[in-house]
Amino acid sequence: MKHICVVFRHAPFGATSSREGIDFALLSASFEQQLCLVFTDEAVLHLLADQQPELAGSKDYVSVFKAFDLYDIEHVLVCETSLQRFGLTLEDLAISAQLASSTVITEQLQQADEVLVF
Amino acid sequence: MILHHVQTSALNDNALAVCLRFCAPQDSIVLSSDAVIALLDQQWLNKLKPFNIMALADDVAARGLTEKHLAASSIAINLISMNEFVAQSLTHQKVITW
Repeated sequence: MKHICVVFRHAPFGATSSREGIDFALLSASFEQQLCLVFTDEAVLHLLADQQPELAGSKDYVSVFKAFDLYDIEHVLVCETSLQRFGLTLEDLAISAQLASSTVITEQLQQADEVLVF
Repeated sequence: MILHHVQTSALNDNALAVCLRFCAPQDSIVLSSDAVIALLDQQWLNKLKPFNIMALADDVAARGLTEKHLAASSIAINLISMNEFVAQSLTHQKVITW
């Protein structure tokens, strides 16, 4: 079993890379890999509640985030610097996530067996 | 000890900025293709200074950048070949491509 860390740094809707990252994370979790997801920069917007993806012509993959604990993905880290930069707090998010400072995320990246960035 | 790999220009993609945010002191950074452009920008050079910085020699030469251009930088940049890049990826614990 590997400890895989998936980092998201792109905004929702703009690019498809985030969607691929989410699929990769869910697939890895279903193969009993230990997952840690990190949302940083504009990717923190993925977790905002009350999104209406259809208005942007995008399929609703935001609801997939609610399935994280179904896949026992417990470690969902949100970059504290990025949240503050956009004036957001944990209460604005659709799912429960752990507020993480840059040093905490750096430590996660050091410990992980593999890190992939989407 | 992680080898961070950045291949997009810092002027139109946040990869280098995010990499630097999560880069530990003992880590190395290798710049390839458009990412080497950051080596001409003093603001980025200042941020790169604390780390072991490498760049793919071919990508630097391809863009007509020479020792003269890089000499202006205040930090040591070792230009490496593709083989050396492979070797570096083996000596580090893992590679993160941002």
